[in-house]
Amino acid sequence: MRKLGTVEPRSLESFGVSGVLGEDCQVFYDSLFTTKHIGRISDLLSARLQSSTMDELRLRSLILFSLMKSYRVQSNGKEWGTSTEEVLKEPMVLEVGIDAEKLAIGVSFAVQSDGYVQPKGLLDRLKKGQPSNEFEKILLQTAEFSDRVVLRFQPSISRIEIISLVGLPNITDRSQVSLPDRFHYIEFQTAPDHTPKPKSYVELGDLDYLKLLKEDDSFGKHQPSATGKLLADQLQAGRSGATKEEVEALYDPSKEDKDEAKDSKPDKVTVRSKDRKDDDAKEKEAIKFAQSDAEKEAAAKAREKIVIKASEDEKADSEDDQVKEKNKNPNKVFDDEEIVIKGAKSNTATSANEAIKVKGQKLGEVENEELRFSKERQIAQSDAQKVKGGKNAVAQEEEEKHFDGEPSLNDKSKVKVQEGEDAGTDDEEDGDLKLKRRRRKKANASDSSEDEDLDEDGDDEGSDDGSKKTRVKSTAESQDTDDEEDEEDEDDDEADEDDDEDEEGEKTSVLGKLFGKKKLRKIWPFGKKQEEEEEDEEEDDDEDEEDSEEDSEDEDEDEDQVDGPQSSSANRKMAQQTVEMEEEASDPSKPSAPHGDPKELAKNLELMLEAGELPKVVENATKTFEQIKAEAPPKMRKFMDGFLGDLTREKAKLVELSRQLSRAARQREIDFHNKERVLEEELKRRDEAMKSKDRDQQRMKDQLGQMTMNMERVRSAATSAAADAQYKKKFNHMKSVLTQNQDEATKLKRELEVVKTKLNSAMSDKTAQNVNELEHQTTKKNLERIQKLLDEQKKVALNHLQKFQDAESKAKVAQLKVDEFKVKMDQVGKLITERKTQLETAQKLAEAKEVENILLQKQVAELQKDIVKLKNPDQSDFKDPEEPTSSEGNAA
Amino acid sequence: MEFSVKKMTRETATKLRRCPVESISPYALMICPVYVWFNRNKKFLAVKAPLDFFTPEELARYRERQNFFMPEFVDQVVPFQSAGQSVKAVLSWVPKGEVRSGVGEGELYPEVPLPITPYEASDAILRILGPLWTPGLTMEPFFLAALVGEICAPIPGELLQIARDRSIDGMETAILQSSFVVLMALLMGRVHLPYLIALRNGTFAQVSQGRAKLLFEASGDETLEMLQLAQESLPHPRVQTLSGAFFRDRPERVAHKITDRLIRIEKELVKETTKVASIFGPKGFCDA
Repeated sequence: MRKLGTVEPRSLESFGVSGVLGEDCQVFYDSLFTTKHIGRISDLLSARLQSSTMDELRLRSLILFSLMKSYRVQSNGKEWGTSTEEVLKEPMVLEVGIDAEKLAIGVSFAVQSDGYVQPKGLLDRLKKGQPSNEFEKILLQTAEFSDRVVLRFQPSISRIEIISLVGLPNITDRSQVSLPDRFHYIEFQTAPDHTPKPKSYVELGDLDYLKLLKEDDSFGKHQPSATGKLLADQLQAGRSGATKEEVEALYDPSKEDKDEAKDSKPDKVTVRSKDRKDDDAKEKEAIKFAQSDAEKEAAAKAREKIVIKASEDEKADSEDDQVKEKNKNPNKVFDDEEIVIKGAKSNTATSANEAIKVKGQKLGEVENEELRFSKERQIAQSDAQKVKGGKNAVAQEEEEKHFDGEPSLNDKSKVKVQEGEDAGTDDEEDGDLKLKRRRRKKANASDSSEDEDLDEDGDDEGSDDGSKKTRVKSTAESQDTDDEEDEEDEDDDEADEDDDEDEEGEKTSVLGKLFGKKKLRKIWPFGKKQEEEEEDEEEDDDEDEEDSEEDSEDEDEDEDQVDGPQSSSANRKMAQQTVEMEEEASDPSKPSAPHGDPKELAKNLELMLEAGELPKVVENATKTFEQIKAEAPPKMRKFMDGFLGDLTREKAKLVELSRQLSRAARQREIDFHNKERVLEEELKRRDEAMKSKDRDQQRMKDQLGQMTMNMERVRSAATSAAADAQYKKKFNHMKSVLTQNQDEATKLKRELEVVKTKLNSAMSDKTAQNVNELEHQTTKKNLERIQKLLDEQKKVALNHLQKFQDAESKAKVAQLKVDEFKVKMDQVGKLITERKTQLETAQKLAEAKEVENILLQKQVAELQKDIVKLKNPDQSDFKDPEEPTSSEGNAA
Repeated sequence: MEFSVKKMTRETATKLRRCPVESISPYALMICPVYVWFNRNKKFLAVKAPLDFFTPEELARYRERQNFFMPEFVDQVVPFQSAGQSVKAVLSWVPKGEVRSGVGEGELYPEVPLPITPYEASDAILRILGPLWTPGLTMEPFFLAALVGEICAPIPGELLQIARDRSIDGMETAILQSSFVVLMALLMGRVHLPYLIALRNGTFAQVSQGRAKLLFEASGDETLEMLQLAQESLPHPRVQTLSGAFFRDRPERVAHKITDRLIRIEKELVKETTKVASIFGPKGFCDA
């Protein structure tokens, strides 16, 4: 391969980009099964390699070309497809390596053996610039972006690797090479070499991708965690049972960041109108929506089948709110809504920020609404209880959750918000509660009004004791709850008597003008009790007299339009049905099958609601009201709207209750079936146990019988033994044996007697021998003593012997030593004598030498004398002082 | 797999975990010895060894017993199982929610749910797998089987039956090697669940049946390297420990890549407080 840069490739005979780069290279790699993430991967790699001053266009192009061509080849080896839907079975391994001089982008992938890629003659075709297919065309295009292209192919595993080498700007040798010469092809006939190790292999997931891909700081200050960390923490928190708050807290590492993030959230588009209350309501809706979105999933899992449709109530409430506001400000016209963008740099920014702050305070109102909502839910559920066929355990749990269970996030937030509640919200709350009470009261009043209708028409067969109710009951429990609610309603009624009187007085008077009082009472389902109605009747009569002239035409029209008789007949029919049903329940003689079956009751109720007279009544009432509306005064309009709203709501409630009833009935059936199954299984088990016990008993009995049979056989055999020949033989044999034994016994007796006599004689001899025996004993004793002494003596002697022997041995040893010593002494003596003799000789020699010495001295002296004489002939008479003395001379 | 306690007395019941028979799937590999209470003997007797499995017929036979009993060793396997479930959740993650334009009532800001990239998934999976290693970068191979068992679908029953009939030792070796291969693939950033399942089943078949060719198509050189590493590190089921040091001195490219990933695990993810999970000792099921 034509060299690129100063560093030679370390190994071309191995797979991987590390072989074409230097030792200090770093390789980034990833495995891909689709082309979906090519863009984000190239983003990450570009960000990571930005510091290398690599041409980003070339880098991204090479990554894209490499991956796309390998994907197409691998997804369909025989056709050049352009689809990217397929997921590969084997990954494409992308490696991007960089050293000081160059960058290498390599992709390895598998090919089919007789597929699109034809390695044979590939290099020639590329060098000649004659590609045979799309793959080779793309290879040529790849080479245009690259300084070198290395192709590696291993036929045994059908593996191809294409590496594009690009020189970095700081490379010393950047000599341009023509396109054909850029290719280098290697085919591995044997197993390739091992890839040389780079400085490090970095999987793209190990990069700090969040930091690398982050925009500059101008886009928000919030610093979220890396996606991988988020996923891992969330999964682990979920496994450990963390609460939702704790999980969400993972996303916000510090509170400061949270606060900053709140301030710097992206732009928000809200819809605002001039009326502030609508704004707040809409904001509340938005917040509620956001909260409920987040919590719905959690709640949906925990919720059971009872679903209370409160949306209709909400709509009704919102309608009520609108009606109220309209009533308060009848001349107000709702202008077009303005769109205000929060967070934009404008004069409205400060107001928007203030609005954000105010929102926190307004959350209280939202939570109040939710409280109201929950209360409505309570009321609806309490109503549902009346309809239920029996106490469903699931429903009970649900109730407990709603009313007595752990507080949800909403409840907690409600608690916090309620502390900072505005005073102004109390009135609304009271008003809403009053509405609810009114509805309940109306519902109850309708019962009494229907009863009165029946009384008037003479169709009432029951008693007027107030026990009849329009709602369907199936169990005594619901009756109890009804009684309780009635008591509550009575209390509420007493509290709100004044208000109700005023409002209903208005309504009844207006309607009375329209329909006539008697007819009104017939169709009015939410009327008061008897006493109150009597008073109203008096008032209405007065009013009628006053207003009869004015409204007479309207009344006539309304009478024609409103299906008074029909509606009253419909109500009468419904009341009749309920009365009949209750009578059947109270009368035990009558057949109770349809009444006792909640399912059928539910069906009947649904039929009544869907196909009965009530919908028709409602429709007709709406039609007439619409017709009258245009001409009616505003108060009337208000009343009519409210009336219609109440009607529809009540209808919806009834429908819902009927559905709940049917559901409860179904659930009950299912429970019963399950219980049946369990009981049946128990029965089966017990039957089987009983059967097995019976079998065991039978077996025991059989065994007993057999045993008794055997016993009887044995007994019968025993009684007939004497007559049996075998037994006779045995008997004779036993006899003979007996006689023999007796003979032996006699013999033995005789012998015994002989022995006895001998013994006696022996005993007599013994007495004469007693004395000798004594002496014998003493001698024995003496002998024994002597023997003992002898033994002791022997032992002592032996000891002495042994000692003597030891001593002898020692003496011998000593003797030996002495002899040796003697020998040594002799030797020493000899040595001494020798030394003596030597000494003597030496002494003699010494003496001789002394003598000689003396003689020599004498000679010397004489010679000296002679010398002196010679020198001084006059001094010859004097004696020489140096002459030896006589002793010295004698000694010599 | 060998285990020491084949029988247990009634008094040991407080240390056992009860598991309904119906909760056991056929051909699911057992993560511990499985015991059954026999009333006649008044004892808990082992009916299955670890890494063994129940056939549907066996489960039907034991259904009357209602419950299996497992030793408290199971608690040591739980972290690996939960990690496997988390990994599977990452591999199966699908973006939820619709595209929000950010305009309109109730919209706060524009939202576009994007699928996670392979590198993000690889990062998440490494963070999940990292704490399973001990501070010395070791792990017992038995727990790999529990981990991979949660990530991949169970091995097909036919393959298991054939392998067990051929040799129990061979089957266990195949289970451990195939699990190790999957772990290596995850460490290599191959975060594609169908690929991992095919890799595991193919490796199991090859090793248990002694086949030369792999069951899945066009295996690459790195895949072959992973197989080779698995065979060399786990030649039999009695290997006690897998160590990160095994990869350090190997010449294969896969070994180099895994070494560098383990370095990151050791630096950032391994916790010093990690308790060493072991099948040996008093809390395990095997005598050392």
